[in-house]
Amino acid sequence: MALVTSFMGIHVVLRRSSFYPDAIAHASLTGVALGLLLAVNPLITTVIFAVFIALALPLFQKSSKLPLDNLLGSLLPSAMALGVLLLALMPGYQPELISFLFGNILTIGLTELYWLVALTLVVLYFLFVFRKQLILISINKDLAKTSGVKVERLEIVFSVLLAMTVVAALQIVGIILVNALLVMPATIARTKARSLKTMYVATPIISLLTVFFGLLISANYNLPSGPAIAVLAGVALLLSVVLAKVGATN
Amino acid sequence: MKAAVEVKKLSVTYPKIKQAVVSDVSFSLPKGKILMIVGPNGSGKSTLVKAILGLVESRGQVQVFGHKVEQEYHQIGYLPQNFSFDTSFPITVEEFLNISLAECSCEECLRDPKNSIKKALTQVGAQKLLSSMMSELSGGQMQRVLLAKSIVHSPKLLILDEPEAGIDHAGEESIFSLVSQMVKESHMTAILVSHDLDYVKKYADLVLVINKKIISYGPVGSALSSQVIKKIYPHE
Repeated sequence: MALVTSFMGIHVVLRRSSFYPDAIAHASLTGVALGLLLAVNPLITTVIFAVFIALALPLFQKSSKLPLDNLLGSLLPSAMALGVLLLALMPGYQPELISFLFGNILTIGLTELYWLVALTLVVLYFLFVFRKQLILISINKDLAKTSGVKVERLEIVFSVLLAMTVVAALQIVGIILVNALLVMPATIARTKARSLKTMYVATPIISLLTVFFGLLISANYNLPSGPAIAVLAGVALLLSVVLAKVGATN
Repeated sequence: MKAAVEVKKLSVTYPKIKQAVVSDVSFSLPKGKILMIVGPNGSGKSTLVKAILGLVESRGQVQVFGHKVEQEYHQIGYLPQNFSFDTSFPITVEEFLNISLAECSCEECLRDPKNSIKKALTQVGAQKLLSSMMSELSGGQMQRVLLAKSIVHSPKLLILDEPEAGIDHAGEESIFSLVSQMVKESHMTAILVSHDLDYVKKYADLVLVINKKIISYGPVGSALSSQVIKKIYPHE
């Protein structure tokens, strides 16, 4: 999972869309609530809702002509609030909700594990085959289009896979911390990278190390895994920024 | 002989202003010619270029080499106006030119992309920039790299929107001279947007003078008469 989120994260960061996965993650709470309300596996309803949001956002942006950050800022509270309202309709304690809010790698069953492996393979294949096209889109859509890249088609596939990756990451680190896996490793790598090649090598390594040591800390000190990974990534980001600054001054 | 670019009754209207920024433009550009588009600020030069390339919604018809422009992107080299580059984007010039070849169908590029990249950079006098980071280039260097990007796949049609922007005077001349040379040697066709009438007179085979509508179109001598110049630049 750390591998797939790190490669996906490279494109999220280079597109300057760091809040995009966060908004989808928050909106996913409505998907969780719908699953619980309809007595269906929340994973299924969450995936459907997240993909719906990921596809609807660009269409809504195109027709409204509003900047993406405005839309994300509006979507984040309203879609999450809808989830909270739906959950309020249900009596009693909802353990799935806590799991989706904060994530817990230890609650993942065999079915979910197969699903994660399949998703990882599909996303990695897509990101490898279309890596050049996706980077060109991140640089300039007009340039990508006139270079023959099918921009709209690739953006749709990317959005769907990103939404599915977000839902998968939710189960590990939860809604609140999903950006820790998707955005932070690529951001850390970006502070020092002087080429795409370095970015592609450094990001997954940082991601795997963060997850490994985050889990180690979580197990040793009996702490929740998601926050342990996110705090560790935060410290690593802080260090990399400081080191980059020191390096630039010297 | 089919025209390189055939434009019929092309109009662009932006929904918010509800006024046509390009109105009823028609022209036919033969293969192997350099067409230069001139007009005052806000006359719709860049919008016309974008409409030809299918980058903005428009009415009318555009054909490139007898086909829809989308089918001919692999034959087109485009340099946009005011290209802004994210300064924190970690990518070298070589990597940028390499990813530009993602959908390339030219035999030479597919066989030896590194050589095509080096050749394109040498042509625009930017061979030393191969390993530089894109974000560290000056305005003039960036313009040369973008020009290299537009020729790296050996296109048959070049569309350059103010290629001289950000480049010093000596560099400007070399860019127009390079385009002129490529058109002659490689049987290319070129559409260039420019503000500099001296370069237009020196390098254009055909001129399209626009101020939302076509003011004149044809060979330099007739399309860029002193009357036309006075009409489009009354304060100069």
